[in-house]
Amino acid sequence: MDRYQGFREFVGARQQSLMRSAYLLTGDAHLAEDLLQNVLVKVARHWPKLAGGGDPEAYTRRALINEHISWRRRRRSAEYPQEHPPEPGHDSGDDTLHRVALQRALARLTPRQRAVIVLRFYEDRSVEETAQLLGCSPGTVKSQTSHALGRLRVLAPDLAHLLHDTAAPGDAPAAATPGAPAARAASRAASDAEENDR
Amino acid sequence: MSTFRDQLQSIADGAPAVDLAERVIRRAERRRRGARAAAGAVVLAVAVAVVAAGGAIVTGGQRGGVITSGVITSKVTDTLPASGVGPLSHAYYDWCGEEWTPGRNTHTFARECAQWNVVTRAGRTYRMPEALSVYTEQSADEYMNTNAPLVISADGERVAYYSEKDQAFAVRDLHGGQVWTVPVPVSRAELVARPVLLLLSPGGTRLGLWGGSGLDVVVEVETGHVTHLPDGWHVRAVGDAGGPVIVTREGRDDELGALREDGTVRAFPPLEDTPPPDLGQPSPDGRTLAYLTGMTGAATSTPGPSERSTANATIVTLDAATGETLRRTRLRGAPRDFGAMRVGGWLSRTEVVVTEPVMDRVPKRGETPTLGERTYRVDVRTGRVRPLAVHTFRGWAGSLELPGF
Repeated sequence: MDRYQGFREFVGARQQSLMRSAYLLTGDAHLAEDLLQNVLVKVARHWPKLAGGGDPEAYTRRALINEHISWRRRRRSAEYPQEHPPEPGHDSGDDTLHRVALQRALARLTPRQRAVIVLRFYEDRSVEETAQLLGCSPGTVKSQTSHALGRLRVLAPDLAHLLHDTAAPGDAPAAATPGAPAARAASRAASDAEENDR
Repeated sequence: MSTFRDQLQSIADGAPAVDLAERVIRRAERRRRGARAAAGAVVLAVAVAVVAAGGAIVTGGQRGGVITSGVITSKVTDTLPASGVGPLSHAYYDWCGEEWTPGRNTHTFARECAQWNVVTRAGRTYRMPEALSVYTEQSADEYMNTNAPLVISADGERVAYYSEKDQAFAVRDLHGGQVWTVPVPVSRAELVARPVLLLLSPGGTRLGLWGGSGLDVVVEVETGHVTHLPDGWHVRAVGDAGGPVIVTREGRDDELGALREDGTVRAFPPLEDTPPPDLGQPSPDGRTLAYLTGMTGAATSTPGPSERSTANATIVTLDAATGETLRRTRLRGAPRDFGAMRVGGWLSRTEVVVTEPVMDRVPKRGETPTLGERTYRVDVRTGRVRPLAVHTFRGWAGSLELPGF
């Protein structure tokens, strides 16, 4: 019997969506592919069990987040064998500038903060779902979200207008303007969190 | 006006297309086999550890080499562990970062710092003492044949090298730790006299050898089965088991063919492009080959302003069984100074890796030059070019090897 029966179909159907999340998490195409490949190897090893009643996608997404966090913790950014990130696309205009600025700012968040941003604002997950995926309490998700947004505001002040729509009900209040005391406090908290995360 | 989510979506849109199922299954299978083999070796390993602990302090794990902003120094102290090593991003040697003058100081490099170093994708660097690197006895006349070859499979999981101890080439699985010695003896003296080209299949399951005295063979790595090529043909690209073996006629780089199962060669129609292009590895399904053509002034060896033009740069795909041209696509999105000519392995069903030497500028007086390779991904259907990575080291000379090349 083929122990990978159904695995190819699962990967075929979901790999692109998973790859997009991995790319947002790592900010690098090559690393994203490595991350996803590592995670899928783990999924493949447990495939008979997952296929027989588990939820492969939920398992994979959880593994992706966990692998990303532990991966990033194990290495320093200076160890990346890349001199610079891939160039942005060749379209022009404010959107491109914002995207590049956001990409750079995201790269400076801690792995957990980045994961929170991806889960909450890209994958549109609730606080509870995010907490479940990260293995922490909803309160931690809220505070991490707040810290992450505060840090983004400090790192990329030009993007403040983008973040207006990010205040989710129940989230801790985030700083509104760059340089404001609340923003500085958020930045300090984020730095503390960053240290703790390393 | 775009929202935060729109911008995240837009970044996510930059994620490359991937085709991972077969690669993942191959890796999972290797690990499964490796785990079974490792279980059998546990008793022996424990015994060795007890003996080792009696004579030395066991240090806490491996530390990676020094990589700063992508530039590697030659201070690599860790040797490659016996197993459990992740996929490689590249390998290099750098003549210890010192100036090398053929015929004058070549003999002084019988040192650890002149060995091959391998770098994992996670950024760890290890020396690989078992892989012969520079030929310290080489004469000045043969300065182009300076080192024993080392190649990395496209998936980064296996490495082929010359084992002086065995007087033969060997292939090593980095995660599982298995080492297969190629049952074709080649002495060090033969290598020093005539270079040998190694061609490892994308998954590292087959190895082609071309060079030396009549050394034209394809070896099934795990079984040791050797296929000799018909007279007058050399191996040019190798697929994994069941995939193609692409050959080229002696002295005619523009004449290609595919090795049939009966040992004869099916000659391809003449290539449309001259000079003969540098052919990449077969695609993951073994059906397609790719090469780049149409660039002028590409990959010159002179640093500084170049006269490159990518106006006619084209990626061409061939049917790996018949040699018929499948598609010719003009490149788009390539940087102005794009000069890649070498095609390596495939990242997915549609994207190949191409590389060019890093030649950013002439070093200042007293500064050690930075050498290396810059890679791009090229979509063979759309011609879109996107930067992938830059791998560099500091040195006056040396070599850098990338997976799939």
